[in-house]
Amino acid sequence: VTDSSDRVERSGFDAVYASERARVVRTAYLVVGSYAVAEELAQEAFVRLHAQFASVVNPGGFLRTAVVRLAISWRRRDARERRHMATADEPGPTGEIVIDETWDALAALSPEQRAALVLRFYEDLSHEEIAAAMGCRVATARTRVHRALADLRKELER
Amino acid sequence: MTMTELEDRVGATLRAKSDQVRVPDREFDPDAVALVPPAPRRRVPVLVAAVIALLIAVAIGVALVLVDQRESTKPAGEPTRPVSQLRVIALPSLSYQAKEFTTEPGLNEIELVSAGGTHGLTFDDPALRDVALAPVAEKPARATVMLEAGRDYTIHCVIPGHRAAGMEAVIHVTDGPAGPTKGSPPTRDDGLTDINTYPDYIETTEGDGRPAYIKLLDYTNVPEQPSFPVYAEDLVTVVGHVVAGRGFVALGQDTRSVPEIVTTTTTG
Repeated sequence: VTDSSDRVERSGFDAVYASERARVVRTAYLVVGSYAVAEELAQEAFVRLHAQFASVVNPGGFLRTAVVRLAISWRRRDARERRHMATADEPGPTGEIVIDETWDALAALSPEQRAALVLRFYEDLSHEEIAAAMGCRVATARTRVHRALADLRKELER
Repeated sequence: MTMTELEDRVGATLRAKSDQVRVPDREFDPDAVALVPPAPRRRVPVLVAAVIALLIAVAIGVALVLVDQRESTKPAGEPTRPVSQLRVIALPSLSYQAKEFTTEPGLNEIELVSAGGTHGLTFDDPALRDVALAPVAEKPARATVMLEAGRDYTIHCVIPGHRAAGMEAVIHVTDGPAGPTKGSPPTRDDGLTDINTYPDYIETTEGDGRPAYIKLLDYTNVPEQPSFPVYAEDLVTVVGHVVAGRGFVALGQDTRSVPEIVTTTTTG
């Protein structure tokens, strides 16, 4: 049995889920580079939003922050464990292995740098918004974007 | 390549990659637990580790005194690792995610996660009053406590005013069994699972080939992720073994009666 306020809340959440899910999965994918993982991270972000939906003022911002932080944590752990393992390229979302220099160079960046570039050049966020999503200071966000570009260029000119 | 050209190239690559991603419609299921790896555990500073070790020692000591003499007949090699894990989530609405929790007697690892705001967790029980959990930002705080069979422990937030606002709960401790639950994760037709039905330890074929289990909190279904198995012989009660090609076989069960696992690979 749900009362009417529950129903309103539920339908509000469903609307956010329907409109934001694709964007959240894509952002996660661009940071982690694996579609399967991106879907899991997006689900976890929505579970977190669902648990506290009533108190969240800006669901889109909440989801972005949650998924970017989850993606960074995942890549940190993944990187640590990959040092001990042979790795294989995951096929692109369309199934084939695509060689893309820039995409490969992005994979070589640190999780924070890659996330910063996704937020800046894919989500078109300002440095202030990036800082809010990543939980760092504005100066740090600016430095991350700048250093990420510098490292990316080095990687591409190798 | 100028900086602007590089920025354009990054933007174009990200947009092209994003456009390739097809996200099929799916209903939201709040019970479908995303099996993402938990955030990496940070190395605990030596001083903090020493304090925690001391708290655990005190908790064990107090519990042994309270439990009664027959406990002292237990073998000296009894494991001191937690037998249960209890995850308490502090909500911004000034409550925990539940008013009542149930756990098993013995060493319990209590983990407190804040879903927003500054919160804490402590016990009313005088023997456990020294246990105070305070998560920092998204980093969970943990403590290991000895909980006695059949008792109810009241926990509450340490922040002034939060308890009065409703931030308290009761942990019911069952009469047993004292061992952790072990077994295979239940699966539904849609491949998703409800974390509440998971055993504390999940069997695995990873590791060095010996029967092993992964702690629930370390469990992940991301195939390329290695995990950190606990060997069956280290657990209090062995309920079965993992047999190559068949998966989990309970103790006493005829291995041949367990169907072989059919592996299918899906793409896309």
